[in-house]
Amino acid sequence: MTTTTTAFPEAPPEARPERPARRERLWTWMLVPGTVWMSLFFVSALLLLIALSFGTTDALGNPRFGSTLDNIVGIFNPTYARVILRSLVYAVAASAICLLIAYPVAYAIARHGGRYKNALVALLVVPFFANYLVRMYGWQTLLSDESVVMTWLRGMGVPASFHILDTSGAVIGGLVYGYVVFMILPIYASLERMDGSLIEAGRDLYGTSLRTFFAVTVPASRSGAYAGLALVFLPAMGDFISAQLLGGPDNLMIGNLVQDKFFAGQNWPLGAALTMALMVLLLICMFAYLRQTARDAKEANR
Amino acid sequence: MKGSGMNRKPRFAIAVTVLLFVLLYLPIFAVMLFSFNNKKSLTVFEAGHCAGTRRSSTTPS
Repeated sequence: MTTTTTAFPEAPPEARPERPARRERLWTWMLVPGTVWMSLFFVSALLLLIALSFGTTDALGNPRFGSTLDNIVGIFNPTYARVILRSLVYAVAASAICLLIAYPVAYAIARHGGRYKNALVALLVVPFFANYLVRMYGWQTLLSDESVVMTWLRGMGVPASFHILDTSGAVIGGLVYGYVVFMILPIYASLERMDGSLIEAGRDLYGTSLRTFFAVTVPASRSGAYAGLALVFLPAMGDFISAQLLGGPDNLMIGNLVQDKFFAGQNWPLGAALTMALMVLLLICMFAYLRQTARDAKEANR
Repeated sequence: MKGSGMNRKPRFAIAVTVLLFVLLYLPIFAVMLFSFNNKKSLTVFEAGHCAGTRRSSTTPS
């Protein structure tokens, strides 16, 4: 009788590739719940919205499916077009300000945070435990004409006609406050990964800190900045809380119009058409972002 | 000295960071403070005896 010395004989070489294939199949199966969920609750809702944008309303304001183009044409009404343009301007301004704030903050934490780095990142995220609406109410409390802040400003000699609440500046400020962290985190991640000796070499080469920042730090963290811009611009464009609580009736954004059509105005088809317009705008921006990141990746691989 | 630039604290970046942290928490503290307001107003504050918190804890859900 012959005995083998190895208890677990090695698998024949041709049997080995089966394992990764099985694992790959497992991962494919794990995609199923997410795909089903998204198909049921996202794609179907989206299709419903598209169908509704061609619909009408009955005498009681209930939505009816149809095939009219009135709602699509209605988007180009100067009043709505002005609101869409205003939303675009506010979102672009908020994204630009977020970028200007996020760079120094991300830089300070990533390069000079030391052992408090993780604690500082956690402190950035903690305010998000409080609801966005509640935080906006907080700003309303602070910026209203009778507030402590305004009373103090008036005491400092600021004229009584000056107010912050119900201005476009307050809406943009609210958007910046609400989304600045989404800009800081990706920039922080790219700055954190960056080799510190690059900055040192940049200092030797370019001399001043500002030139080093623009020649070394900015290009190295560009991908993070693009991701941040996408993360801030997309939700800022559809935001309605900031405009509603801080902007007043003269600073409505497209999100407010959509909310109004669905709830107060009882015109779901027009609300659906406005949502579609918003989505098309955001898709164009998203494609621009994806194209830019693909171009950057190609350049980096060259 | 080589490398000394790296160790220099970026004052502007640190100032912006401190200011951002203050602004991030300011509205939350304002809401927390106004939860102790005796009046229902969101703008005028009148110090109370935890009236808001007592009301929220006793209100049946």
